[in-house]
Amino acid sequence: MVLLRALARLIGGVWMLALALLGLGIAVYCLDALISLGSARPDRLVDLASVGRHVGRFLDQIAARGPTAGLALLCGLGAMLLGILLLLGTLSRRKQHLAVLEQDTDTGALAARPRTLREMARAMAEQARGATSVKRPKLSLSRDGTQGRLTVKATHARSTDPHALERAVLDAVGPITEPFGLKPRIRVRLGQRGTRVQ
Amino acid sequence: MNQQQRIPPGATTPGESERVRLARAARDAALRVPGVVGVDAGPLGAFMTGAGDGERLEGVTCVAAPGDGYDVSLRLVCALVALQPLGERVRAAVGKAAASARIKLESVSVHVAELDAGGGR
Repeated sequence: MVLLRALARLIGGVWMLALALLGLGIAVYCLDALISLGSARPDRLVDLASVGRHVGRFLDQIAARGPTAGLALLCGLGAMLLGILLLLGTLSRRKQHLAVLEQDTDTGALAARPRTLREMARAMAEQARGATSVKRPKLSLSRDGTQGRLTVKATHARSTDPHALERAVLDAVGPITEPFGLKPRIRVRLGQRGTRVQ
Repeated sequence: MNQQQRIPPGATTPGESERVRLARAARDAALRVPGVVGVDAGPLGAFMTGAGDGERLEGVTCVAAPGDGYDVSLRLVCALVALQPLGERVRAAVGKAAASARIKLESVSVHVAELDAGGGR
């Protein structure tokens, strides 16, 4: 969807440029009525007459049965598909990029960027007793940003009880998950040799 | 690339509009709140209020609200602190600053944009 949105923006820009050039061409053509531009007239510059002949020949081939008509049909279907995709890219709703803690039209909003919340969750989880390492947490948010799921993966030493660590990490990230309405999911596994207990 | 700025609270410039005065007061008040490390102008540096003389008050926007006041939004860089109490403290500080500047405040939105884990005060 991000790619479609970028493509829609790019094509929008190209289309605007094409329209601007067309407008400029028409303006210069109209100017020819006042001042004779001679060979500098836009239609003569791009040799519209020969373009018309080429296009006419191509249109004749499309109208007739044969491989060009089949190719034209495929191109037409492709263009329709591209149009639908561009419409999806243009009209689709943007995903919420903020985790919303409070949203009130009278008092304002309290919100945080997901990346910031992930960093906070990691920093807090690393302080849990018995955690040897904590991977970068994953945060998935609902469309309105008021709910979501926070997944934290931590490792423990052989001497640490995994259930105790799970509870400790859960408590550690509580100040983030509770106010932001996030459902915590803690995954604990045995760490590799060489990692240190915090 | 986020544009962050750590700005010491500054004095107001005489002759500036009510909107700019409020933006400046709100930003300065927020920066004085413990746990707030700085302000963030957003990925394109566009989250700011232009002060007219080319000065950019980054991390704060101030727009006129339908109800005769102003809506203030702040993008902050925070230390590792509880965000809800921090947001409330920022709101209270901005409300106090607006009251002392005698400017009607409609709402205050606080967005935590970045974390500075070593920036606790």
